[in-house]
Amino acid sequence: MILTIVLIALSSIFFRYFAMLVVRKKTPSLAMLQEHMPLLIIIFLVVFLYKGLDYSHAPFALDYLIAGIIAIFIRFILKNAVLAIIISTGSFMIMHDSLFKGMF
Amino acid sequence: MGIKSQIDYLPTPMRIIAAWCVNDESFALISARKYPAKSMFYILIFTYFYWILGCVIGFMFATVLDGDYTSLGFSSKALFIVLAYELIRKCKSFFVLALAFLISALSWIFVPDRFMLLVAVIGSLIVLLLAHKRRLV
Repeated sequence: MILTIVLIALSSIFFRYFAMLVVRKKTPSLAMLQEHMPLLIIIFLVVFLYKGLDYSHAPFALDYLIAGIIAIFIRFILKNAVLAIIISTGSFMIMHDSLFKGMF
Repeated sequence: MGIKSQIDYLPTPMRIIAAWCVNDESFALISARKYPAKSMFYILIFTYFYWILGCVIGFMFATVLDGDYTSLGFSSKALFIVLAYELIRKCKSFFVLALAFLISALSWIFVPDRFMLLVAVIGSLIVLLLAHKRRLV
């Protein structure tokens, strides 16, 4: 167990240091990837999170969908990301734990 | 890459520690503006230990307080949703936006859950590099 943790830690630090050594010069294609990949990865992550949900049984992932819409809506209206996360998580907890249980 | 140019000013032992301590949050913070090498080193160290400390405190609270906190996990999803919204708003390239949604849709339909992220990221990397070669991006 301890050996596994040490090996993971060593491989992680080696990989990061190796990556820093490899990327010595900022080429135009690397700069382009650095500019555009965060957007792509975040969109893939959101899609990935929603793909893993169960849409075939009640509540048909409605709690996740509604809370996600609430997050965007609050961010759009109040222009505050932290508030959007807090309110959408709160609304998700209410929907997931009580509202949708026994509704369908 | 943005961090690397600043990390180069540090001595090797500190550079190795800095490489170890990089996480999403410190990367976002350091990429946003240029810090002196030493300040950047401390930012990396402290954000890393705040992260560990937060995990330990959270674990201790979860063991002491009895209850089901699984639905709190939605906060990470909400964070990603809000971040995606911010990045989509700032994105100036319609090509990249269309590519993101197209690859997401294709991988949703054709790729199994566990490989989806990997296939989507590798696919988008290849398409972006090809598009850059043809001066589309």
